[in-house]
Amino acid sequence: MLQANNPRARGVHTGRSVRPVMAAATAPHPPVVPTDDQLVGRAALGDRSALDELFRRFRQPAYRVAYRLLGQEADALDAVQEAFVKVLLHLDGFQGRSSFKTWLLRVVSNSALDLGRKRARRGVLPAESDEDGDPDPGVLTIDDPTRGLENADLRRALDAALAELPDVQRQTFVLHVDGDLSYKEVAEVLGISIGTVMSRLFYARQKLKAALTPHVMP
Amino acid sequence: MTQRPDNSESGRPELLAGYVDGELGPADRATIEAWLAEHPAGRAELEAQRALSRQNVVLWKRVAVPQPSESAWNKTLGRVCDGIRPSTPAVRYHEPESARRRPGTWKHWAVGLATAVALAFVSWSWLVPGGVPRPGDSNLAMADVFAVASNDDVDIESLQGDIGLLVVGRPVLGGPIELATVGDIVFEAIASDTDLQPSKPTGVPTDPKKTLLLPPIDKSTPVPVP
Repeated sequence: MLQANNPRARGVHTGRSVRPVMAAATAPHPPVVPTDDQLVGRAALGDRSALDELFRRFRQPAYRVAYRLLGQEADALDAVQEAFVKVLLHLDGFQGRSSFKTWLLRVVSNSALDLGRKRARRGVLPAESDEDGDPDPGVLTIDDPTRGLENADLRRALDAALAELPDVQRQTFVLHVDGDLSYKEVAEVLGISIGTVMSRLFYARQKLKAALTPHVMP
Repeated sequence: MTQRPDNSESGRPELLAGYVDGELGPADRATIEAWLAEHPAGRAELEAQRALSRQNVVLWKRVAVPQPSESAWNKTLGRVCDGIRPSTPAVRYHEPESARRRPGTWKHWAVGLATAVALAFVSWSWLVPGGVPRPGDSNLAMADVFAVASNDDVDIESLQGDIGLLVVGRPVLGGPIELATVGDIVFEAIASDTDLQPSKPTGVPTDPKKTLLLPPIDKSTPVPVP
C-alpha cells in the first residue's frame, strides 16, 4: 500500500486502495483540426482526404448561395460541382489573398448566375421537382403540415422576388445572407466598395419587402 | 419603385442597411441615431431593413433552403473528382501502380516511330524550297487551325466591377459588312444644321447591300458632284 508521505508515491487515497493517477502527459490528445489553408495546401498536392474535407466544410454555404440564385436543387448542385472543379483545378494559383470560402463563393455565385442565364436563354423553366423527380417538399414540418405549406409558399415568394432583382443586387444579397459573408467579404468577392455593398443591400431589401408584403412576414 | 427615406441630413439612405447589420463605424452610427431621433417615421424604414437582414432568424429558418440527400452530395463529390482527373496538370493525384506506363511495350515503340516520322516530314517540308505553305495558298486549311469559338463555347466566369449593362447575344450583322464608298453614294443634298453640328450629306448608296457609313463633314470636305 502506498504511503501518503512518500514523495515518490502518486495516488489518490480512496479509503481502501490507492488509485494511481495518470499523469497529464499521457492523456490522449484531442484531434488536430487542419485549417482551411492547410487543407488547400494538401489538396493542391493531391491529397484526396483534404479534398473531401474541403468539400464537406464548404458545400453548405456554396449550395445555399447557388440554390437561392437558381431556385432548384439539381441546378444548384451543378453550380456547386462546377465551382469546386474550377477552384480545385486552380489551387496552385490560389495565393491566399482572400479566404478559400470567399474565393469559392465568388466562383459558385458566378456559376449559378451563368447557369441561370443559360437556362433562361434555352427557355427552361425551373422544375418543380427535386433530383429524384419527387415534388419539391419545401420546408415541411411533420407536426404542422399547414405551417410547412406556409413556409414553402413564403420561400417560393422570396425566390420569385429575388429573381426580379437585378443580378448585382441579388448576388450581393445572397452572398451576405446565405453565404454569411460580412460587408468586407462581399466587397472582396465582388470587387466593389463596402459602400456599394451597403447600397445594394439597402435597395434589394426595399424591393423584397414590397414584394413580400402580402405574405405574413415574421 | 423604391423610395428613399427622408434622411436628407444624413444624405446616405444606405446607412440604414449598414446600421441594421452592425457594419457602421461610430461616426456613421451616431449620424443615424441622431437622424432617427429627429425623424421617428424613419423607424419604419429601419424595421423594413431589419425584417430582411440576417438578424431575422425566424424568417431565414422558415425559408431555409431544402437540403439535398446524402446520396446527392456523394454523387456531386464524385462528379467533382471526375472533373479534376489527373489529365489536368494543375492537380495530380496518386495513380495506382497498374495505371502507370510500362516502358518497352510494342505499342509505345509504334507511337514513337510514328511521331518521329511525322516530325521528319514536317522538318523536310520546312527545309525543302517550296515546301512551306505560303499565305494565301488556297490549299491551306486555315479554318482548321484557327477555329473560332462560338457563343456557346464561352463561359463568362466573372464580371469585374459594377457592370450596369452587359449585352449578350448574336451580333445584329449576319456576316461581314461591305462599306459604301463615296463613289457608291448619290448625294441628294447637304443638310444645313443650325444646332452647331457638322453638316451631313443626305443620300443613299447605289447598292442597297452596302452599309452607308459617313463621318460628319465640314466646309473643307470636298463634295463630289453627282
